[in-house]
Amino acid sequence: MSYGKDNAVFFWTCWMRNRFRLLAYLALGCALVLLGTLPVTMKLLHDHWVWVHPRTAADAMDAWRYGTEHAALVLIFVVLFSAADLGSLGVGESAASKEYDFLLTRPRARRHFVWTAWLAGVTQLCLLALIPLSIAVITLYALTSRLYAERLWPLSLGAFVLSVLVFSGAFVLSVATGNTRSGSELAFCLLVVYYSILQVNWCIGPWVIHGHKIHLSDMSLGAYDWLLDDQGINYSALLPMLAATVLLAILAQFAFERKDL
Amino acid sequence: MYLWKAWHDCRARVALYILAAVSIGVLSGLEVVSSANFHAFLMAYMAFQRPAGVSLAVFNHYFNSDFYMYITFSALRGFVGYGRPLDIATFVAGDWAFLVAYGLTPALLVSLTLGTTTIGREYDAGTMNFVLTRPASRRTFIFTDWTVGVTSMVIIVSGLVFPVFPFLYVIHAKGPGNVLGSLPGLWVLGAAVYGLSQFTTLVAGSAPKGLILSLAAVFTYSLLPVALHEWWHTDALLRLTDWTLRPFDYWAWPLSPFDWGATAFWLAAAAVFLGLSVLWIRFREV
Repeated sequence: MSYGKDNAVFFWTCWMRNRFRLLAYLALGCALVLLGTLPVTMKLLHDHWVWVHPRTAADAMDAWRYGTEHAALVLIFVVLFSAADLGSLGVGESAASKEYDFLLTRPRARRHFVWTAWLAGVTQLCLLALIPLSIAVITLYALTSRLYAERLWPLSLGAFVLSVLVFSGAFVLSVATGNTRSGSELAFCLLVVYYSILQVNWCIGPWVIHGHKIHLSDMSLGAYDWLLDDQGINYSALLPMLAATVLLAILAQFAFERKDL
Repeated sequence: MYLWKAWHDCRARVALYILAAVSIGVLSGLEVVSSANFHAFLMAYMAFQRPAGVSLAVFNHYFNSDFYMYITFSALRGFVGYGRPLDIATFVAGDWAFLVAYGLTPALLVSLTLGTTTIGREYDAGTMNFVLTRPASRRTFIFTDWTVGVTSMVIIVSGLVFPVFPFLYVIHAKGPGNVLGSLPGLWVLGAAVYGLSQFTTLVAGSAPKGLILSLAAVFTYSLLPVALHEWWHTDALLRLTDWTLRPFDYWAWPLSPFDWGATAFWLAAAAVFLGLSVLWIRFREV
């Protein structure tokens, strides 16, 4: 077996372990994106909601605006949820199933396992962001026959960056505690706290129990406030997020290297 | 014996949650006092701003606030308003309703996580065969877990709510009124979510998988009707969901009355999940 193939073995193991989860999340993401993008060209005619093909560029832009907001909400929800789950399963699941003793007999440095598991998770998150995004673009294009996806790219980038951060947070927690459950519990608590802070800031009440009092689009776009400003992408916010993500992965490496096994 | 194991498995988590709940409860009580002080300050400010020649009654009517208060200042308690019971009580009950509405999130989290420390996780640990050698029927394990978990959840949720009471009595001499009407609803909702989490953990045979499945169910229940309402313009599901969540409706303040219908719904849901868990463990091989 060549060196490259040897390196890919653990990546393949991590990939295979979570493949059904990935498929389930992809199915969920695609279904929710369709749920959010299909009705954007519906109009109320004679007391019935019907699909109307946009005749003007302005109508098409409106449809894209709504579709982008809906897709942004779905994306952030799906990728954050799956990031917390996948992150907690990184190397943590090996601890839960008592595989460490066997795993570490392989002729590889410990950091190899940490970074490979991290890379496998991030690759899966890439797919989770890209495939629903592509479905959104294709659906909106099919509905409007026009392409106005310029807002969708930065929003997808924001969702992806945030999800990788959450993934790394759950990853380091599960590695440090040697317990998948601790990682996922803490990651979900952080997500709840994050949304609670957003709610308090907006002073619009608890969306979980009173969603119809607010607009979902406020909730989805509010989650991107840190990334976007009037000039477009706010790199001064993006770079610290990326740095924090890498720092968390490095922390996971240190935690794993110093673990008593 | 299994009762001790069930308690032993979750006691650290329960202790941590009780500590957190009581701390949040005390902080909320302080916030209620501060809010009441702000109310009194507002009243005093408005009284000072009353134009000359306009009686207090007319001025109050103009502001449509139906208050009639004596404002005093206490070095210890700041501005304090004494007046007709409903005035300050209404104001404070708004805060209370806010607390109960947000109490839903801790109740959900506690129920979800405690539900995953149940017998279902023994499959993942490979110890289920051993547990089932105990001289007890399979449903005993489910009922014991349920009793320990739901009792803990009730104590934790109460730990969030009851510390606010002394503060309510401090700011309102006649007591806080019927602010506990929505609390039983919170308990039975917690029991239902606990049952859901216990059931999904049992079905998946793993605590993390059970947690993910039950979280997905909670998110679907709360967000899908809103999405259908906003995106597809269909209201039926949202109306049904709202009806079941009526006891925790912040906008129903000042005082949320005890809601028999919604409470019975969540009680039935709790019973259904408990029954499903019993059936599942009874007919599952090992």
